[in-house]
Amino acid sequence: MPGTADAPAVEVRGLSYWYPGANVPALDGVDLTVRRGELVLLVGRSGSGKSTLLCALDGLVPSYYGGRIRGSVTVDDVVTRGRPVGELARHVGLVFQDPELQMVMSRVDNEVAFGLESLAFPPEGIRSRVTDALSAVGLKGKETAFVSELSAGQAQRLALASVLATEPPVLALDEPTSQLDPEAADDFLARLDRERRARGVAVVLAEHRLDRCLPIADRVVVLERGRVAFDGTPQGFADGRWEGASEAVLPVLSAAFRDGAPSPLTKDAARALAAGLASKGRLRVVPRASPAPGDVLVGCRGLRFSYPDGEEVLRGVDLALRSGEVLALMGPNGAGKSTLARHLNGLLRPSTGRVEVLGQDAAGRAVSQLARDVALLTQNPGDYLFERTVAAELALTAHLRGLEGDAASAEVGAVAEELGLAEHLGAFSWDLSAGQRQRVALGALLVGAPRVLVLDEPTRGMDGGHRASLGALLRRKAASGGAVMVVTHDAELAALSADRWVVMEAGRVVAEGGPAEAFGARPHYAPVLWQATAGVPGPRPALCPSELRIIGGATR
Amino acid sequence: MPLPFYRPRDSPLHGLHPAAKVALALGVLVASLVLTHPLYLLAVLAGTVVLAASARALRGWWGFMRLFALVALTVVAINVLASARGATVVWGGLGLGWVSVSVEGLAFGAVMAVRLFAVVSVFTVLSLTLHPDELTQLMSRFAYRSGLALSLSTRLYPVVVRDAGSIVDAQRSRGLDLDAGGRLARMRARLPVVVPLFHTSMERAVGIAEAMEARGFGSGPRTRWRAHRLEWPDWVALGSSSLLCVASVWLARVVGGTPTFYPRIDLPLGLVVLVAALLLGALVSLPAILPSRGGARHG
Repeated sequence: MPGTADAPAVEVRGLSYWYPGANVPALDGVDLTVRRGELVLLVGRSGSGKSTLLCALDGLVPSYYGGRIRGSVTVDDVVTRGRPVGELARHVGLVFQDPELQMVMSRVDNEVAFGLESLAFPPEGIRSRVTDALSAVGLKGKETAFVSELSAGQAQRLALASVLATEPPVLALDEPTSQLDPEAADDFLARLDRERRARGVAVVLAEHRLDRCLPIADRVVVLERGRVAFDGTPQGFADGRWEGASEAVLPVLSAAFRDGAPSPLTKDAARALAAGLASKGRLRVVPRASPAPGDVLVGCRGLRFSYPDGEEVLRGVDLALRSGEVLALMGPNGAGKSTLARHLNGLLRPSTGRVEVLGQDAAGRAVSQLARDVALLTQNPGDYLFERTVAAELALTAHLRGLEGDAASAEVGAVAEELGLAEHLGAFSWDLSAGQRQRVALGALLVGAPRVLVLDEPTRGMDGGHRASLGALLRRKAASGGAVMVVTHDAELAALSADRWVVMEAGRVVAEGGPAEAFGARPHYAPVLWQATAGVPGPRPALCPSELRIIGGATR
Repeated sequence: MPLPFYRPRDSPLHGLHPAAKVALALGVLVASLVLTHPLYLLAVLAGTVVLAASARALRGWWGFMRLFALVALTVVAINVLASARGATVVWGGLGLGWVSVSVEGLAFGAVMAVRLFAVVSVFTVLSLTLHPDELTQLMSRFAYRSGLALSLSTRLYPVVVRDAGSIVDAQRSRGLDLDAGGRLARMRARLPVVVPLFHTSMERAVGIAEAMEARGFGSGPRTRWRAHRLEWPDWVALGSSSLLCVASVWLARVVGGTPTFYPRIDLPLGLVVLVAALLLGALVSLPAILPSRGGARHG
């Protein structure tokens, strides 16, 4: 059923929704109108109802999830209530966070064809649609490749191609770039923007990485606890023009220039604003104090590692992690970062070279022993969780680190308090949200205060507020005499927490040192504010908003 | 265990219609179950090796067959030990009444092994040459959902193996020693792996089902974008498979050439048997000489 040209693509009226068994609504009286061809950026903290709203657009809420619903959703002139999801798929194309969870077929072209076949498109037209969609996302030539061979960025582009092929008038994307490295994320958004303009589709894009998305948004909608807190222009959003606006949901650039003129929406605008303020002597960068380097807690020398199939992943790495510091390990996918992290607690053993933990050769010690000193948080927090309660999960680690009785309970209580888990101690971890689960896993590692903490991509899918708390936690860990190494694509997390940067490429360290050294050699790992304040006089550009001082207050 | 997964090649077998590939495997299955003469079974087995070679998949085939040999030998050994019907006893066991090894038992076991190898061999060739999407699209004619379930599980098998590996890493990173203690302790020590693996897999299943529904799966009748017709090489393969079934039944039931093993071996040999064996082998390996039509066509 084609919609009339002037009717909105999406019209949501008074929408409230309760998940089965929930007393608090996930959506609470939401009104939303999206015009044809418009890109609406949907912003909100984790659990604010963004995903629920997207799922309500194509009927997954409530028909797949159950629960109670009130209000109405009209998409492309079709009232969704009572219609099967399969039918609504003609009107709304949904792209999810994790590319791996949306692939059905094994071969790239068959994957694109799957949706077309399911919606009973005439077979003779399918081939050209598959070809068009794949070239639109830059996957031409990959038709016969296995889906499992694609990189995360390619897989997410394939997911986009699969929905573009059926030409729905509305696209709904749920944090599509959260699993991608910065380059792949920018590429994905650029293609999304180009295609939506070319095809005139309406887009609702939920994202946490706002500095990246704001330049392509026509409008911004902020959700807070299931309600629309703000619905207006990107400028109004960036300026924080709503009650209760906090840095946790604002783009970094807005947070940095909140005391200045209207907030810059792009890096270029921020650079011009910073230059203007600096020329009047009104801008100053106050770098946060870096601790004096302490003893080396973990070190590796001449580390080389090859997998049994002969592929050499580490090609001579030297690294020293000192007490009191947070080290950010960055670099493209496949550079060997996770492999290096797995050497620090003995999960992998060097082919040649040496790893030392607290001054001792790691070669003679079992992983279970090394784990007392070096705690490693791998990429999937769920991998750690199996006990019946959060408390038992933490207590197990206490036991493994030799704490019993009152000492153990006190330590579990303290860690739960620090991570904001005190109220969830009796819950089963798998019933908690993804963000809460990640904190449980982190708690299960922090109990017993291991000297060294290593985290592998801890901020995937994490909102700005939780990222800031994690950054603060890492700083506290280092300040208490520990050492932290964080493997990350997230330049903003590194900006909030790191003292030192190491950049790896193809199994080697290619840049190392303070931010000036690291970003001088590899500028694209610099956080957005660093790039915006690069020309400002001062000891160095600013890493994060708290380092930036605007003298003379607001000029708005 | 490295399961034999599809490997893309340009070969006559890869280019066959998926229905013809499946028929080929079923033909060999029937022949192996019906025939009992070791010469016939060896001929069928040899035919499947020719198929593997023609599909340029010998390396993958051998990798799996080598592992399977252990399983097969165990089955055969149990059979040999537990069957006390042979007359020529070579080892009476340790005074245990039911354990005895006879020449007849060994011979029968060997034939069993060849039969088992022939069946496993042809299905290994099948899974090395049949793209998982071909299977889905073949099944879509009569049971789309089952076909899809099958193809999804082939796709997700490596993912689950990877998940299990990453969970083991995570638990060891926390300090758990998964291999300590006695058998009971080790069983208990598997819980930290099993529970996260179960929940991860469940969440993945729910997520994929959600994504499939969002793309219109189950909304009504489907179309198929690759409706391949059977071409003459496919008909040749289908014909040779059917002929193989008929010939096997005929050889086993009508012509004779059926050996007996107990109490004493009676193995009919002669020119007829030799010629019949050669013909069986030729029938099985016939698709190897068909023209190759540019790799798998995916249904």
